[in-house]
Amino acid sequence: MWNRRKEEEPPPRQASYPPPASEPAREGIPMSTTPVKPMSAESSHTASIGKSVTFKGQLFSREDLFFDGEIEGSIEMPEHRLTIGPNGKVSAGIKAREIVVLGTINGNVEAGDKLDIRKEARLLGDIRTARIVIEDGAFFKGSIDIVKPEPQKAPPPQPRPQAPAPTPSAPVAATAAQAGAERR
Amino acid sequence: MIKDRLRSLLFGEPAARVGATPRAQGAVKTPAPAERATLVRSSRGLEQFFLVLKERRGGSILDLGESSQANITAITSLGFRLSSENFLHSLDAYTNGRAAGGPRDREEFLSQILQYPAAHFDGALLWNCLEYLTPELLETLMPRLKEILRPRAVVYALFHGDYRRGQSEHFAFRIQDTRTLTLVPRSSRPVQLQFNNRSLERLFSDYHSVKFFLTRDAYRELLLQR
Repeated sequence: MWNRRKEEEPPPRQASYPPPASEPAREGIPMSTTPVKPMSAESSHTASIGKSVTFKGQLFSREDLFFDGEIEGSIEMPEHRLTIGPNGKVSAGIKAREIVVLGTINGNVEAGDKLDIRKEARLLGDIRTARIVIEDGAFFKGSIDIVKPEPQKAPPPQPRPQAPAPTPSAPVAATAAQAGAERR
Repeated sequence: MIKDRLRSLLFGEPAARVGATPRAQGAVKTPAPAERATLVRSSRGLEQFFLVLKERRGGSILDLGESSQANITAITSLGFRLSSENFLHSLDAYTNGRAAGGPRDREEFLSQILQYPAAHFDGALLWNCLEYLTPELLETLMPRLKEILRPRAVVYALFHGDYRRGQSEHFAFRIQDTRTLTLVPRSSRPVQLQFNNRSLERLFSDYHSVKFFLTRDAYRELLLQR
C-alpha cells in the first residue's frame, strides 16, 4: 500500500515561480526579469527590471536601465540613462545622466544632461537638471533648478617630443678643455 | 422673476460671491475641452510681470497652475527657480478624494500645499486659481501665500471679468512669450467665488500695490506687489 502510494505521487517539480515581490532583490543577482523591450532602438544595451520586482536599498548601475518595478531607497547612475517605465514606482532619490519618466517618482531627481517627463508620469520632488522636457498632462509638483552643465575640461596638453635644443654645455666644456690644454 | 429665469437660462447658475456660501454646482453646461478651441491673448499684466523679473536676477517663482513646458522654459530661462504647485490638482484631491484616500479635512489639505519657508518666493503666478476656492479655504490660504512671499515679491493673477459668461470654462494658461498667453481648454470647472474690483482690493489690501489691467476678453488681470 505504501509503495503504491509513492508511485502515484507526481514527480517533484522544480519551482519556477519568482520569489515573492516583498523580498528585496540581492546585490549580484541578475536583474533582467522581463522580456519586454521598452526602447526598441536602444534596448540592446539596456538592462531591464520588470514590474514584479520590488527593491529596497541603493541601486547603482554602469549601464542604461529600464526600471518598471518598485524601489525605495536611491538610484545612482551618473553616466547612464534611466527609464522609469509606466508601472515603475520610485520612492527614491535619483541621480542619472538622462532620465525618462513614464511612471511615478516620489523623491528628488538630478539629471546631469536631460529629464524627460512623459504625459502619464507623476513626479513629486525637486528637480535639478540641465534640460527638461515635460509633456502636456504630466503631473509635477516640486521645484525645478536648471543647472548649466559644467564645461568639459579640455585634456591637459601632452608634452610633445621636441628636438634636442643645442645645449650650451658642450661648447663650454669644449672651451674648458681647450683652456686646460692651453694651460698645459 | 421672469428676468431671473431668462438670465439663468442664458448664462447658467451664478456662482457664489465672495463671503457667501458656494452654490450648487453642475448647472452650467459647457462643451467638452476637445470641442473648445485653444485661445491666444495678449497680456499686459504678464508683460509687466516679466519686466519686474528681468530687473531682478535669480530667485524663486511659485506657479500655482498646471506645470507645462512653456511656463517652465519662460521662467527658468530668466535664471529663476520655478516651484510648480499644481494647485487645482491638489484641490480636486481634497474635494473629490475625501472618501478615496485624499486629504480628509481642511487641515490635512493645507498641510500638503504651499509648504515652503517664509519669504521664500520672489514672485508668484496665481493664474485664476483663487476663483475655485471655497470662502473658508481662501480665508486660510491668503495669509499663507503672503507669508511665503518676500517683501516686494511680484504676483500675477487673473480673474473673470464677466461672470455671466464662460464662468465654468476652464483653461490652463501657457506663457507663449512675455506678452502672450495661450489658453488651453480643460474640462469644465465651475467658479466658486466671484470677485469684483472692490472685493479684489479688499482681498489684497495688505499688499504694497495692486494694479488692475482691464481687458476686452473674459479675464481681468492683476499685478501685485507684496
